[in-house]
Amino acid sequence: KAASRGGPSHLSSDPRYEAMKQIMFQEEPRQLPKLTEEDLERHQTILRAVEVMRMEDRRKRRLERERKFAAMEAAYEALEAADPRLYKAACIKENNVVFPRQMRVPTETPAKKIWDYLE
Amino acid sequence: MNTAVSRMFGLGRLGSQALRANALKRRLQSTYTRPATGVNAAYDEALKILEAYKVKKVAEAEAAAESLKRAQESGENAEKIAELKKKWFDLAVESEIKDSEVLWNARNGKFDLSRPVYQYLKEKAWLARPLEVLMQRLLQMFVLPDLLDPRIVGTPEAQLNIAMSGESAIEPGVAIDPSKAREQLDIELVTFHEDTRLHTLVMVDLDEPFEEQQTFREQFHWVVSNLPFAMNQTKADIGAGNVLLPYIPPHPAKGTPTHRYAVVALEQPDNGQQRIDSADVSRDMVLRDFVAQHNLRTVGISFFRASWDESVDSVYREILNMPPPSYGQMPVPDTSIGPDGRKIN
Repeated sequence: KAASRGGPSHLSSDPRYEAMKQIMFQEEPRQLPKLTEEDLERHQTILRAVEVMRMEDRRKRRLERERKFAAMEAAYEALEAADPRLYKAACIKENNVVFPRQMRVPTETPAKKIWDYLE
Repeated sequence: MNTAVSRMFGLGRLGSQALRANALKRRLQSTYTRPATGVNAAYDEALKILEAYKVKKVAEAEAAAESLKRAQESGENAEKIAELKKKWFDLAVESEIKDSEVLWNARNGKFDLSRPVYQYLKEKAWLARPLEVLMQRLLQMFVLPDLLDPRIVGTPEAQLNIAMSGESAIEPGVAIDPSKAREQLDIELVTFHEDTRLHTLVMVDLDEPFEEQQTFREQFHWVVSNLPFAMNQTKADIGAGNVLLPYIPPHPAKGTPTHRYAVVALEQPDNGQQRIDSADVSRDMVLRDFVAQHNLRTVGISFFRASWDESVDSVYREILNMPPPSYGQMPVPDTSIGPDGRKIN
């Protein structure tokens, strides 16, 4: 009817429009919490502390990783000094290496039940 | 728990809103007041974490200071000492930069420059916005290619603040009434090195009309050498320097386009230790030549603009002792009027 009069076609009786309006406007829009100066300061301090915590964790993990890698390198160097034949054998890169499924990559926070492969 | 988390997620925008709303209140506060504990458990834990981090970093900084002292006493080479000094400085900054009080002071312009963290934050504040604005204005109004080679200047190391007739520092490039600059300008050079270095201050008019060649050229308005500046000595003490060219206020002639007046702080040779007690300076010099002649280094630059107004005429009459010039178009003869003054048909 409105379309024939030359108006926009969406004024026709499509129940979805009413439903959409109801869904959008039935609740009051969410208000941002109003923080006092003190609360804002606390909020920013908390975020800074979280940043510091994450930085420290990353630093610890990086140092541990570097320590392990350095130990591996030292082991290789010791082997090279001790026995060149064994060293060369150790340096061979094997293709298509296959590992048992149980030898999974260790994680820092493993699940309580790793994998029940019997069931 | 969920409400707390959802609150935190919505607070990115709120942070800036609250800051703007409370900006005036904060500016009226003279010292930092720590928020009360016991209200927010996460905040109390955060304080503990930050304190533990600070203690750790302070210990590291002290160790670095010890090794620096040992290196200085045992007479190590300058490079190694500089490296150790930088390491100590970085640790000293890191130990205090997470502190709420320090950050509040920095936000409100209270810098206690005896502590490394404030030195770092002050320089960071300069680099954040004032330097960007200065560079934009310098390049936009062509002060840099016209006055000095921008490839050599790069970005100025120090912040040069121009203040006139008792007011606060002007924004670089702002157009002012020439009457404001009638008296000597108050120059402040905020440097970020601890030792005292000598600088030469030059004020140049970039757009002085040069009738002979129908163009514009530079004119020196003020040259002062041997001005000491350091981190804790930022105001220019003209009495302590050598005035090589006394101050002449800006005198943009009537009919000329807006003049640009640049103030340049040049560090004297040998890291600012060499004195320049006398120099062959005239008003009609070019800054590039002056800098090359005395082997100076540009560390700070700023400028303002001015156009003619009635007060400029008094500068011409009283200080320059010449009649105030007035530039304009050559009068075009009206071809419809004959030599007898009557209209030609």
